[in-house]
Amino acid sequence: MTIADSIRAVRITAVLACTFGAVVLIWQFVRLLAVFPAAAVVAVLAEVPLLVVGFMLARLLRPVRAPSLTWSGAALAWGGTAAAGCALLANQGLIGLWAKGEGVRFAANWSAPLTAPLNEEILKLCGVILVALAAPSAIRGPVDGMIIGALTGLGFQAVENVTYGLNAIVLTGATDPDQAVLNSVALRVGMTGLGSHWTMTAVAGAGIGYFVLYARQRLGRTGSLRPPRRGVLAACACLATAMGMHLLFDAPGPGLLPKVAINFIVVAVLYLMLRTAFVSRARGLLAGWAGAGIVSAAEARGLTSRRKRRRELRRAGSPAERARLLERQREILDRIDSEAA
Amino acid sequence: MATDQQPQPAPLAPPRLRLRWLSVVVAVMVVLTGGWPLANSLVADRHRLATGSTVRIGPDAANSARFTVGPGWFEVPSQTNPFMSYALRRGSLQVSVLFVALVNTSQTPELWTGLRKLVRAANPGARLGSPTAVVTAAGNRGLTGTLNAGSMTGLASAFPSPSKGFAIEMVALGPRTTHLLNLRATRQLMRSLRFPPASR
Repeated sequence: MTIADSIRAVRITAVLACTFGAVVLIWQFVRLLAVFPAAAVVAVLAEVPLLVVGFMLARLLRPVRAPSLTWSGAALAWGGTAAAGCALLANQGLIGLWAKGEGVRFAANWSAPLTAPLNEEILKLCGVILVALAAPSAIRGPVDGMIIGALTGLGFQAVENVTYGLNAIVLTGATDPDQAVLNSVALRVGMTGLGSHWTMTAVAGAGIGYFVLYARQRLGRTGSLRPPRRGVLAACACLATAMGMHLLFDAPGPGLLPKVAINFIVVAVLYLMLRTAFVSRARGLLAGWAGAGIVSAAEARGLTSRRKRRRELRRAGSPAERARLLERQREILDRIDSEAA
Repeated sequence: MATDQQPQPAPLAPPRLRLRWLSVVVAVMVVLTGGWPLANSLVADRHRLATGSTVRIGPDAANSARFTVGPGWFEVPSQTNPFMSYALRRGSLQVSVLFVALVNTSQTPELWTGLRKLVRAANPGARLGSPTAVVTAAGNRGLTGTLNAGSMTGLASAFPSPSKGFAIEMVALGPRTTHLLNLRATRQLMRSLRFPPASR
């Protein structure tokens, strides 16, 4: 089997998993959709701004340049279909076991915090791993893993919000389905949106980025296919942190806002650390290349900024020159991505 | 960029490594998605409720109600959350007790219409009849009506709390063959409902 064949196998598996997840979700909610079509449309439409803004912001947050649109979309789709659908089944199973083993009162308080972090974080992370396997250039280091993770979490979060909106109709006795959905949206987008799934999967995804980085370094250095210890440790630490964030989020106790704030601060601090390190390495590389005459001083100054790159392209005298400049920028950015990861 | 300055590209994982990781991912997903439900299905999903025991439903004392079960009732733990809903069984009779958090206090007139739609969502063939007034043993007023769903028949009822901030809904469904027995057990359950003073 060739590398291309193995990549194709990963992609086909991912598409099948997404299809399965989507079918599970539709099967679970089709009756509510049929009886409350207007409220269901409200529940779906209310998530569109979150998805669009979140998608754009996450891609914008990738330093130097945005990740591939295709793989960003794939991550979002995995979170919203494969991960969400499989989590629905997995959670029902484990929550049932908690209720049977520990009693319904314990389960009412603790089944969600003891179930969702385990099932959901792993199922979302499977999507990040599949992106790394299906598109070797999409995840080269922790920054890439973090952005792809955030997008996976965002897809999951949006679909989960829709399901919570539909469940809110039942929990309010269907007395005012539209209002029930809007109240749910206000809570889950307005109040908890900043500290929900995207933050947790961003942290876990950074761990996969570390793993890929160390695995490639080891493969390039020694040709060994064994998982690198440092990579395994980093991936486990990040996954454990994400699970901890999720457990805190679902646990009974302190109000929602402190939990949201903690999750947001964790992801923001990690992002700033990774971003600063990445940009610093990118600038260092460019300065070195400028010294060696590989890139011009102007390129070294402007290439890490999206705005300056766009300005340079606008200055191009002809479409041909613009295309040449664009190609050159891409070539250097590819190399930065490869070496600064 | 000069070719001699090109760094060594990051090596791509060989196919067998990629397939190995793909297998790991698929195995993990199968274990979680299929394993937990399978394990859950292997454990008995019924817990006997003592005759005369009182069950509380609702998120807190101020927003809760109690009902008392007679002989022969079981709780279905996997479908029960004492804050929101109880799934009960008595022989072939299935009863759902639902805590309904009303969007606002003026929503109580919509309870029956909402319940009719929820019954249809849970069982597409089910038809909920017109409501008649019912009063619990503790004096709480509510609505009740008959439920028909193919070979099954039953009763549904809705009781707004005195504060009108929430309501308790009960839906009972069982085979037509044991209709009278089921009806008596369901009515006992419904009539036992009471709202604690904190919810008034």
